[in-house]
Amino acid sequence: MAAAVLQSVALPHLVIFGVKVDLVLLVVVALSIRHGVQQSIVWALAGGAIVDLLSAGPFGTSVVAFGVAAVLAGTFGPSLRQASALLPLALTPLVSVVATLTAAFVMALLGWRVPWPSTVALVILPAAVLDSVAMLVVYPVVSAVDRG
Amino acid sequence: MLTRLAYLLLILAAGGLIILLSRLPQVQFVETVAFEVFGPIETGVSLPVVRLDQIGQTIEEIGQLRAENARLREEVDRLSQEAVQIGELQRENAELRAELGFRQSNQDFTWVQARIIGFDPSNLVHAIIINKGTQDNVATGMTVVTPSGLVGQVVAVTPTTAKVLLITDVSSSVDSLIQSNQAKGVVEGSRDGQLTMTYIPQGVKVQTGDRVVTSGLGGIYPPGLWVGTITDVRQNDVDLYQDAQLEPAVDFSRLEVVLVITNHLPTKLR
Repeated sequence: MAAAVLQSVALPHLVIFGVKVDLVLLVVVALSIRHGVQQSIVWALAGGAIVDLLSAGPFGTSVVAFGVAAVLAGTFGPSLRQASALLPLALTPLVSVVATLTAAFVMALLGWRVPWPSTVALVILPAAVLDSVAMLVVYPVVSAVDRG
Repeated sequence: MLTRLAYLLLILAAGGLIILLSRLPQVQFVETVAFEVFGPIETGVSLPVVRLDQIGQTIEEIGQLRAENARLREEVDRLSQEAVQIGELQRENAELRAELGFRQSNQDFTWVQARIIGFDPSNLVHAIIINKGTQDNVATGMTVVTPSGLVGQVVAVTPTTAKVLLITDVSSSVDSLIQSNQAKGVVEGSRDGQLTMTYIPQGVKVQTGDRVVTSGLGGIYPPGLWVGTITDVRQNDVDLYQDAQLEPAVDFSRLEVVLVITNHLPTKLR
């Protein structure tokens, strides 16, 4: 909930490349990498629901997007983590792209206008880059809190 | 008694004699020489005395200076605080003047002022959250403006908050007209935060700098609200319509306070 509020109140003032960091998604992905699908799916649903509550977009968009992200990160993350502690971070751009694409797809299905070329060029790709950089900070913090 | 009178007479006589003698040039010369001799000695003796006196004064002044310093620091802090407050008051004054101007030129509207408390957490939606809801007569569908122009529309409301979809969102479309020639079109948002006016009929002369306002068609937004200014025109003879790029009238990056028009609802929601 703190991450969602931070994402709504503070992070919009830190817009880079025209997008802001998807902090709740990154927390969900970090937890998925550490705990696998089964445990993290609850975090994904809860985080997605809070983001949807704060968003003017259709309710359920982030629940679905974060759920897909948790499944992806939870499936490949733990095995990659056994090979190297930092290797799972390489999943972040892929997970970010899949999650934002999923959200955009859900919005389009629900009748919202989604201009795909500009959505990919101006939202999905810049968000993937920004989320990947932010994950270098978020993952150690989540890991430390999770261990504590 | 007689002796005292004699002393008095003696003193007066001596004094009178000295006064008389001092007027003689010879005596004045002696006086000058004596002064020349004793002057430096007197100065040499008086310096340490003066210094001691100054040290005493300095010690006394240190205490006063400390108190003065503390007082001045407080004064600087107070003035700094006042400078910040003055800046804030000037900004608030400008906002209120703009609001007053808007009120005078739009007397048909009633509205509530709301402060922005959050932004949409999703990168796919351009929306804001405001601190007024149903308790303040805010309802879904109401138009949100600033004195500069159109901001968006209330899309969801709780007792104390409301979500406002901005006109820069890609899902937003505003029936508008170009003020100079009354040509109609639809203003749509885009991913880069700019506005595009589409469906402008061919044959209409559109120029950069033209103002675009809401037309009131469709009944969603009241007419006459400033939407933006045309910055670029895309005209192609083979197309049915021409498009124009708009600079939004409102600076969305500096949005803090908005006005929700409470006496206008979309036609279908009335």
